[in-house]
Amino acid sequence: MAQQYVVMKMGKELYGAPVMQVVSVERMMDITPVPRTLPFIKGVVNLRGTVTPVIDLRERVGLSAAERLDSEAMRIVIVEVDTMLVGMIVDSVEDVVTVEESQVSTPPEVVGGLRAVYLHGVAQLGERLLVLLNVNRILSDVEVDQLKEVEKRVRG
Amino acid sequence: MDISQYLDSFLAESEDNLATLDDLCLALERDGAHDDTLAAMFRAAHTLKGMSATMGFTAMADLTHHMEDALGYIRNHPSEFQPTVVDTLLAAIDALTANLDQIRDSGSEAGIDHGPILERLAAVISGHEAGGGGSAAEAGPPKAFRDRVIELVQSGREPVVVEIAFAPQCTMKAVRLLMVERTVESFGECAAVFPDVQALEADADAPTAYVAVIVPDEDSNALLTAIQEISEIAAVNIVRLDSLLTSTNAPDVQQARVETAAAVATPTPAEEAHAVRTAAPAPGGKVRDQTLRVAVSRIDEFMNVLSELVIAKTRLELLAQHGGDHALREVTEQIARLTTSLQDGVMQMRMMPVESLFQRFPRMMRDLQKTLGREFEFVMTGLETEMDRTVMDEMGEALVHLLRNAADHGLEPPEMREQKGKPRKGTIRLSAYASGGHVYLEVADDGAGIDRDRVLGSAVRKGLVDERTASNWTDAQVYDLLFASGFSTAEKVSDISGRGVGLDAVRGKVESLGGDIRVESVPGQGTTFVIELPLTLAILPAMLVRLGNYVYAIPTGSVEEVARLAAGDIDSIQEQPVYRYRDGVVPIVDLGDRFFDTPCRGEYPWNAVICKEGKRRLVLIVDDIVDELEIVNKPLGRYLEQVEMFSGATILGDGRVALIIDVRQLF
Repeated sequence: MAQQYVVMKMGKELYGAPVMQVVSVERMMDITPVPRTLPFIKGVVNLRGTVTPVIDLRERVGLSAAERLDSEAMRIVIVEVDTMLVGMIVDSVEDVVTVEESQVSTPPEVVGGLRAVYLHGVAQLGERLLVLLNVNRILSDVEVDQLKEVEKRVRG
Repeated sequence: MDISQYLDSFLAESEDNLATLDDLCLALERDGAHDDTLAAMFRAAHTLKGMSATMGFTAMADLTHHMEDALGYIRNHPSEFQPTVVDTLLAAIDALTANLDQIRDSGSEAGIDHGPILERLAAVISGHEAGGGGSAAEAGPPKAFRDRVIELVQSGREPVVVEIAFAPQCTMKAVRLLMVERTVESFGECAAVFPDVQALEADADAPTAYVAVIVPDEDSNALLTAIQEISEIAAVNIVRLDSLLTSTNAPDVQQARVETAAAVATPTPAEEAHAVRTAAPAPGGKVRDQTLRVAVSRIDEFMNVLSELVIAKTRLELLAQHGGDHALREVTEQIARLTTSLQDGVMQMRMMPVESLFQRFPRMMRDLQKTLGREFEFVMTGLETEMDRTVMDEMGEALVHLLRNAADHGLEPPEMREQKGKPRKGTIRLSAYASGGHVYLEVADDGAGIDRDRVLGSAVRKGLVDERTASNWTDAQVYDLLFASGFSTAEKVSDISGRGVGLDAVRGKVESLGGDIRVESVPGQGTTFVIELPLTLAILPAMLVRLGNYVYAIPTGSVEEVARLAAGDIDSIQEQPVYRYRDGVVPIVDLGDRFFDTPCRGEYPWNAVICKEGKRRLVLIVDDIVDELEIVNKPLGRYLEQVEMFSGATILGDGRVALIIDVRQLF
């Protein structure tokens, strides 16, 4: 079974989000911060009238956001999980590629800062590696993270 | 066939039908076995059966089928109707509701067992029928089968009914019956079979089976021979229609048989189902408007696009003013008018009559009378009053609480009422009405009223208030104590009320919707709870404030006053700044500090918004107060549902998002 992925670039790394879950790719827009949320939640944007939360995918996958050079190429990739819309900020969007399931290998336990449960797998894309994201997990485990954050604040 | 696309409408329509059945059950209990009521119930059950069978939900179809049988029986034997039957029917409706809920949640009927309720329904029929002994059931095919035969006779197509006795050693009766059906089909039309193949598979004990066949007279003997040739079938007999029909006490059917020519066309199931939808009189005898079911989410999407349009329109207006082109200005004005009426139209679409919320209460109140040992009339008025769908959904639980409260604590027990010279039966009234941009919901009882001294006594004991300050309080102030958290005067904690969810929770819910609740009471005459709610949640007046580069909205409902605080206005208690306001001090919260750790407090005077929530006040310090206007409330969505400080967001004229502050979370 072949799956199509939107290839997103962050630093030198390539990440893939299933095309079926990508609603649209937007240019950067005004983001209204939502105070006292997790650091990677950047805020909300007005997506054609719908208030949509936006996260920084760099920070979410454990890359440093400080290394990013703001540029015209930055995009917000809007994905849909269970009718929930969330935007992910990436350095740039490269392409859409087709990956055969047979090309996908199980990811190592940790890729960057991201544990394997957040990944669907890793695929060879020519010379380079494409890290396939499990978008559902990345967006659904936020509650768990949020709880941990609260715990950290309480316990110090 | 992919049925998933029909699932939503199936669920919605089934819900409607169940609600109708529920209502009619109550009517049945109240007014007795009227044929109109039973006919309407029969139609609703029939529609449910047809739809669930089409959708492949067999458990539901089976249960509705048996319900239909029971209803059919009552309809044919109105004299035997007993009120206990209503309990059975209501239990069946509950089982169907649970079944439907599971379908909605999981999409399947896995694990559903209607066994017990099916037995009760069967007892409705056999309880009467088998009264003369168990032999009646064995003497011939069951009623459903006979009804079908009667139907055929009435429509002038007289069937041949064949009784088939299986050989005692026959192990696969279902297979044999299937073969019989095949054989029959080669001669004529197989109009009815009992038991059906599935039932026979489940219950292999049935010694005989019946088939009704439409077949030319001259072929009937050949048919018999053919069936006889199937192995493991012991005997085949033709059942005389006369005996079949007289065993059902339906003389009119006999009549019909004689006058076959004047056959009255019995509606086909499809026609019947159709009739329910188009011709069923709405409660109250009004004719319903033609309606279209639209998901709320679609209307919300539409609303989103519309608010974008409003923003674009505002920009267009600016351009037109600067451009000075007369024609452009004219078109812009026209577009502005059209946009406004579009907006009104969408708002209107979100409104629904409260009937859809109220319809489940009569049933609940009926059950309450039984469990609480109270006697009362339950009256509902203003069913046509419209309110925002979202507000309505949120109010359900609060109303349940108030209604239970009225029945449990409001009304006296019947004996006590008689002692006081009041009618034994109390009255609980639920009314809705709209007035001046608000919708009012009232729950009133004609019970004992609120006992001021008991309330005060209880509050003093619980340390909510001290005796001396409370002694010269007005009644309204005392009644207000009922809403304090941790207050309950119920002498006994019952299953119905007094279980933690107190009136404070009701008030919390009402206030979170931007509404207000108050109580009026006359000792000895009764108590009335009045809930005031905004017509809609989608649009609310708000104050816009600025913090740094961002604008936030504070609902005007939470704002008491706007002030500029000078150094002299501020005190501190335990190093926390407070503001001397009226006769007390109010804590000060610096929003910049609270949100971003960058205080707004700099040079005096400080820009302050004094907020109130119930009796509590809070001063919010902001950088600037920008504006006050009507905003469109949009949810932050599921991803941010953990965020408590903001109840939603709105889109400003320049297209940016402003968060709506939930003041209650800042206390």
